Amino acid sequence: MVRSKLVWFAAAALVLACVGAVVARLLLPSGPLAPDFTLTDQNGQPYTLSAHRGHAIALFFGYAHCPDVCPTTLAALARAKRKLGASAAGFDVVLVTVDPARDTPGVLKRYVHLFDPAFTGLTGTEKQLEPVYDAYHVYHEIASGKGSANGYVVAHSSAVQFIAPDGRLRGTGDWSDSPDELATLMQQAQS
Amino acid sequence: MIAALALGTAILVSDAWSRPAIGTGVVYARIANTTGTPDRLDAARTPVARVVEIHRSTAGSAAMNGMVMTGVMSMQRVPALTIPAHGSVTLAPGGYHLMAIGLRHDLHPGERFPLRLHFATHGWATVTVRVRPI
Repeated sequence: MVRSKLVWFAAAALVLACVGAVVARLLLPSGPLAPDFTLTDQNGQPYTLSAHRGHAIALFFGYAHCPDVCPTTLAALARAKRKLGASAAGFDVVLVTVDPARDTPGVLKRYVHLFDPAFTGLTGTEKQLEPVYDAYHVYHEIASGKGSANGYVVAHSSAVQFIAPDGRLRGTGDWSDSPDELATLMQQAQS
Repeated sequence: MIAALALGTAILVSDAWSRPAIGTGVVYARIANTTGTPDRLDAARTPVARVVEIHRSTAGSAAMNGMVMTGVMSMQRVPALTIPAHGSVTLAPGGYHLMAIGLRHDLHPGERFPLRLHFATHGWATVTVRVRPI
């Protein structure tokens, strides 16, 4: 008797959870289509965003000579992806450079692969990159490296934009989010 | 990881860590001053990089296409860092950090390298930095 009550209770909880998920999905519809672009990936191959439908994507902007904020973001995204395990296997993490003069495909390959061999690094000509920065509202400014041996640094927007498998924007995070917070955003982008 | 101390126990440097990097790397640490007088971190050296500088990341905003954007991160070089008397300073992501410029090899997760820190009053301290695994 107790057992059958438990079964009913579990069934009711499951139904409620499903209804909840559907309601949440309706309350949180996907955003606009992520602006499309074609850039060059870390292997020197063309990368067109819209050709990656079916995969959820975390897109952010940074550069290899950025020692603090960019590796913090990459490490947190790598940890978030690892936390989710097999359910995040198809999740793509894509870094678009704000420093095309230094970030060649080869440099980006060495860089992103230190964090996760499945990560993607994109570069291009300034003419190809400027419309992408504009479309994603990414501020970037080369600051003279006056008094620093690093040459120059690039001040840049630190947002991480999450794109759902249907190609629509689904959320944003930033460099200061913990791996747990980024994992939640990844799961939402995949749902 | 707790590692290293400078000249007796006057200045204590602990939890020195880094990130995977190519070209330009980072070092974070906690620096405590157990004495009654402030000291200043004013130089650093490591065999894995050509130069080490003190930098600070700051979050700001900027105008772009008629909109004001927050979350714009930038970095400034800082000539020296004061460690207050009976106090401490933590170098951490998004704030003060050491920038290791001109890395002689890529820094891989798990590797360790030595770093020397110079304090105006207490001289040189050597610590071991660990590249934190992902």
